[in-house]
Order: sequence, then C-alpha cells, then structure tokens
Amino acid sequence: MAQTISGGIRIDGRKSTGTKNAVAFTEPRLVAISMKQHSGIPLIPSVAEGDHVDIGQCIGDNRGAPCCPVHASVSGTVKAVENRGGEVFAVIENDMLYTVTPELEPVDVPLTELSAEDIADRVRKAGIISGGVPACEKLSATAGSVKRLIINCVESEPYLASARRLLLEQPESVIKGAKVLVYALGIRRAVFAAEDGDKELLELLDSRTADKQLFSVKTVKAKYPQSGERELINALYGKEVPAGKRPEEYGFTVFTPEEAAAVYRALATGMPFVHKRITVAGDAIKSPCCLVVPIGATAEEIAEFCGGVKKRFSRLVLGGLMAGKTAESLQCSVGKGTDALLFLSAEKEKKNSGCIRCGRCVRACPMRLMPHLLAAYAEKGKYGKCASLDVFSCTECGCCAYVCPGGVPITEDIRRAKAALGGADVTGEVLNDGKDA
Amino acid sequence: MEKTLKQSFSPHVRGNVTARSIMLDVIIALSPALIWGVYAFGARAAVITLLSVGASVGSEALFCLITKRKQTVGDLSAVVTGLILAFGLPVTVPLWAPVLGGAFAAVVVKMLFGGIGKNFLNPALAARVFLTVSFPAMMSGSFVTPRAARALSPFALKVSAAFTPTVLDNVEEGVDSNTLVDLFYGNTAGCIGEVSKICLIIGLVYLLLRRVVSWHIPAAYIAAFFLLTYLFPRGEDEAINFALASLLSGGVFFAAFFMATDYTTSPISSLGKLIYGALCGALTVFFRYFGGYAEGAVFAVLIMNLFAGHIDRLTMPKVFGGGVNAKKQ
Ligand code: SF4
Ligand code: SF4
Repeated sequence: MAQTISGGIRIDGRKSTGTKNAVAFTEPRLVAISMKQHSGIPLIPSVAEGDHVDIGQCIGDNRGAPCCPVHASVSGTVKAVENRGGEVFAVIENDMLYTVTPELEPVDVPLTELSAEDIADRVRKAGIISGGVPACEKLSATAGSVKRLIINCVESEPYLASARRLLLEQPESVIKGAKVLVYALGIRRAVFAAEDGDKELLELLDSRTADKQLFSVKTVKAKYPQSGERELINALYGKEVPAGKRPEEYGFTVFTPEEAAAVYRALATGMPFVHKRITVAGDAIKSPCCLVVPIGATAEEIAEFCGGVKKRFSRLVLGGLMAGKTAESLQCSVGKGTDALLFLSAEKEKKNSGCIRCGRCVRACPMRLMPHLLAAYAEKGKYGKCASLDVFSCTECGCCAYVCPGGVPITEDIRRAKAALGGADVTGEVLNDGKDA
Repeated sequence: MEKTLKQSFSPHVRGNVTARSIMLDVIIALSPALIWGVYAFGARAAVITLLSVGASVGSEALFCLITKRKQTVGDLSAVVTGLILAFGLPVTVPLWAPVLGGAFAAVVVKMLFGGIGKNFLNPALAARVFLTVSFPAMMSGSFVTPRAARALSPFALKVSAAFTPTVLDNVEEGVDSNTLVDLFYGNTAGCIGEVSKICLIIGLVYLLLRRVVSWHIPAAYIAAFFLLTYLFPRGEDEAINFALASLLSGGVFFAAFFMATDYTTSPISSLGKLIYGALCGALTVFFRYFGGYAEGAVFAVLIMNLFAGHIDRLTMPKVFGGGVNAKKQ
C-alpha cells in the first residue's frame, strides 16, 4: 500500500526527461567549484592560482567543522581562487587530459574488516553530500541510535528525474552502496522508498531477488514535497521529526541513491564525489535531459551542451520548480546539492488579489501551519505573531503559494518574516519573544 | 549569450485555481437551482435574479470607482452574492427589493469592510436579514404556488397575489409522502432558489467534485439539524416524518450548502468546519422552534459567522512534530 503525508500537493510531474538515459558531459572548458557546498560552512581552499590539479585531488576542506572536503572534478590549471559575492570559488581550466590524482586509496580488504569509523572517515574524505547534511555526519554523529536507513528514490519536484535514472542505469552501485551503509550503521536492512506510480523502478527493485535480504521496498503516493527527509519519514512511518531536529535523533537516516552510489564508489575505487547527476529541463532549453556533469560545470556550458536555450528563455532555476532559487547569471555552477538546472520562460504573473480565506493553503501545508495568517502578519510587519505561529517550522516548500487562488505570495512573505526574526536563530528564544509581542 | 536573468521567488510555478475560477464554479453549481426557479416560478423569478446580480455587481463597481480602488468585480464574487440573495427572495417581492438588497450586500457588508476575504458577515445573508427585519411582511408570508407565480407580471414593480402558506409554516400538522416528494423536487411554494432540493444537491455534488467546498460543513449542518428535529419533534406526526418535512421545507439545504460554506465567514480547519456546521444546524432548529420567523436558517448562519474566527482559534492544528520548540520524544 502506498502511503502519504497529510497536506502537500499533486502537481504535474513533467518527467519526460526521466525516460532517456543520462548523458555524460565531461568536457566543460572550465569549472567553478564553490567552497560552500554545505549551508553556511565555508571551506578553506588548499590550491592557489596557477596550481595544477588532477581529478579527485582535494582542493578545499575545513577540519573541525561538520563538513566534508571538495575535490577537483577535472584536471587542469587553477585559473583563479576568487570571491564572488561572499562565496569563494576555485576556477579550474580543463586541460582535457583527465588525469586522475595518485592520492586515491581504494579499499582492498573485505568490508567486514572495516570499522564503522573507518567507513565514516572514508565517506568524509570523499566529500559526499547532496544538499542537507554531509553523509559522514549522518553516519557518525549519532552512531548506534539509527534503526532505519531509507534510500530516498522519491523525486516529488516536477522535472526532477536524475535519481531514478541513476537507479535504473546503475542499480548495482546504489545497492552496493546501501549494503555498505547498512553495515556501517550496524542495522539489518535498508528500505528503498519509491513513488507508487514509477512502475519501471519498482519492477527493477522487485527483480533484485538476490538482494531481498538487504532491502525492502516501500511506496508512497506521488505528492510534493514527499521527497523531503522529514516528510518521507512521516509518510512511511507516521513519525514526525520536528523542524530543526535531525532524523538521526529519532532513529532514522535518509540517503539519496546518489549518495549511496558515491559511498560505494569511494570505497571501491577511492574516487571522491566529483560528478553530479542533474536534470536539465524547462520550457526554454532545446534538448532537456539528465546529465552527469563534473561538479562546478557552469550553466552556460551545460546549456550549450543541451542544444542551447530557446528565445523565450528568461529565468534559470537551480533546483526544483517549487523550492529552487533563480540564478543571477549563466556563470553560476553546479554544486553538490544542485539537483537540476531549469531553463524557463518568463513566469505567468499571478496577481496578488488578496486572501479569500479559502483554506487551501492550510490544507496544503505539510507542516500544519496557518500560511494565510503567517502571510497576513508578515505583510503587516507583525513578525512576533509569525513567530508564535511557529514560522520556523516552515520548510519553504511553496505548497501554500502554489495553491493560493488569491495569488498571495505566501512563501515569500514567510521568508521575509524569518529573515526579520533572524533566520539563523531557530531557537526557543525567538519564539518566546514572539509570544510577548 | 550574456543576458540578465529574471529573478523570481519560489515556488516558480503557481496552480491555476483563481478566485475567479472558484466563483465561476459556484455560479455553475447554483445554476440548476436557478433554472428550476425560473421554470417553476416564471419570468419574474429571472427578472428578480437579474436585478439582484446587477445591483450587487454594479454597486461594487461603482464603489471601486468612487473610492478609486482597484476594480474587483472581475473576481465574480459579486455575481455569486447577487445570486444567493435572489435565491432567498419570494417571487412576489417588489422589484426594488433585490436592488436594495444587492446594493446593501455589496457596499455595506462587503466593500466597507475591505472587500472579499475581509468581511466578517456573509454579504448576501446579511442583506437578506436586513430585508427580512425591515420588511417582514414582504419577506415572509408572501409565498405563492408555482402555478400562481407563473401568472405574475414579470416587470410590474409590485404584484398582488393570493398568498399560500408554505409547508414549513404548517409543518407541525404533518405531511404526507406526496408532499415530501414535491418538496424534494421543488414543486411547492417558497423562495426562488431554495425550493428544489434535488437541484441544490446536484450543485453541491459539483462543488465537492471540483473541491471548491469540503463535505464537512454541509454534512455536519444537515446531520445536526436532522438529529435534533428527530429527537425533539413537534406535532402529532411520526418523528421521522416531521424531521424529513422540516429538513426539506424552507432553506436548510440552501443554507447548509451555499451559505454556511462561504469561505470568508466560515472556519478553515476540518474540525472547525464540523463544529461550525453542527452549531449552524442546532441554531437553525432553535430559531425555528423559538424564533419569530418561520425560517431560522438564515439567522443561524449569520450568527455563526460571528464565531468563525473563534472556532478557528480553538481548532488550530498542532504543528508538525510539535514545532521548533518540541521536546524530544
Ligand atoms: S511554504 Fe511553509 S507555510 Fe507554506 S506550505 Fe510549505 S511549510 Fe507550509
Ligand atoms: S490559499 Fe490564499 S486565499 Fe486561500 S486561505 Fe490561503 S492565503 Fe487565503
């Protein structure tokens, strides 16, 4: 039986890119690799202008902080290490030679001879993270308390299809990665979560009878934002992990297929996480497709590779249609958490004609907030009221604004309220202040 | 290829339901009852409806014009207001009544409070109560049978006819099953849009299918009403007969389906809607039993309008996982 969350929205999947094999785009002329692959924690670059780097060579790290290093994704010369609007980038010119660093250390002993710490350490060294928290943190931070490992094959954002492509094309690496994770977490099996409409994927998982000991499959109904970690856990197990808490504290950990495959690769070949699977789609790109690109590839070169943009191109969204952010220029590059590049035409403006109290936003909110009130208070600048309505539980999933017939930019209003309340400070302090206000 | 990219805020896509599309759905849902009303009560019913809609839309447009606000009639909510007001009028009212009511609804109840979404009373309902209280003889006790209604002049400002008591007026004396069937189809004396229960049900089903309204308020309303009339019947007849006749006569269906479900003046959460609907039903029975007017539904819903906000506050759901202040389980 497919399960689901309360709230959320059904939205046209636009998944046509998911029917074709992913294509490898290996020859960008240059890559710009950000030193900020995790929300908030900057890495310290270990290369300088003029240095030669090989694929897989570590180019930035920040020991002591909960993060993981980044590596060169192409071989060539470092053209610049520059600060672009508060974010440091290492720009590498591709020499097209694809030389691999000699530093790689594949594991040459059976898995059972490695300790959980060894694995976590190797996972850290490999720089595995795809949005959210580094994979190594998920493995080590709460060792022993995790009871369930979920491999999240649910892509509920429109267009996104690269995770399922990975699974369809290289099931071996994902499943072997899951095996390593199961071993490292000291649990018995993994759970693969997929959408119940994705017959191809479910058949594939079903056919892996040899691995039946290793994993079971659970399905969810197609609904956005069910691919979120906390939403998925809620859909599958009915457990609610509050905002600001890690699923690991509640006995769950969620990995994407990409992370699992990267874990396997890091152990088997020693190659760190340097290639990212992305979906390139939207109504303004000539040939939408799933790609495998070196991390740091720029939107401009990717667009060129995909046949160029159409005339009506006016917006580039990094990430999903519902929760992604628009890029400022085509010079922006793919990071470890960039799941998609969406080349879109100008937005059909939906005029803000005011709230009619229809309640759609309340029904759509997966966090059971009162979006219409949050928006109304934010518009009036009554941010304290927003805080007492638990504005920081909002995941900015966008469901409320999507369904609103009044065209109220609810999610935007909420973001403003959070910023005014001090977005980083997700503590009780702010909330208590709010109640007094 | 360098070109400045447009910035937009997530979500970068919006659903296509708009206030206008919702109101259009409501208009579609009201049309079976309207068609029946005109068929049963003749051309005068159509004239009254047109005047009511025209007055409501016209005065909202004029209000926006005079106060230099953004024109809002495009959202069609004024049309809905006009229709709902007309549906609650007897076909014998003088033609100035729908005009006065429509203008009152649009200007006094809706626009002066800031327009759609901000008024705390349902405009059509408030206008109907305003007319009932100001002109009691015109609004109640002035019903005619469909046959007599069709003989009325459509355009005469005032008409006189032989009034017939409605089934509701004498419901305590008991009804036979033929009358119940007539009530269900709408072959009876009553307000223009309220008489045909089957048409109202068709309209509600449409709204439910289109997810414009949820089942909570209509179901709770009807259930509470039926239960109370069944448990505390009046007259000599069997309780079940009395309850059915009470339910089918008068405006309970119309109030439960189209008045109590008004977005602006009803609670938002499902639990709140159940409570609201049930209280509307109970109050309707109360007003029918103890009130000065035969029909209590309108007063019941209007009074409950005042409590929608409180009910919302009492039924606020718990935030996912207990919110950011949640203690670990
Ligand atoms: S953006 Fe926030 S308020 Fe809106 S639906 Fe998502 S979680 Fe709820
Ligand atoms: S969806 Fe929009 S119109 Fe409806 S209650 Fe929420 S904010 Fe108001």
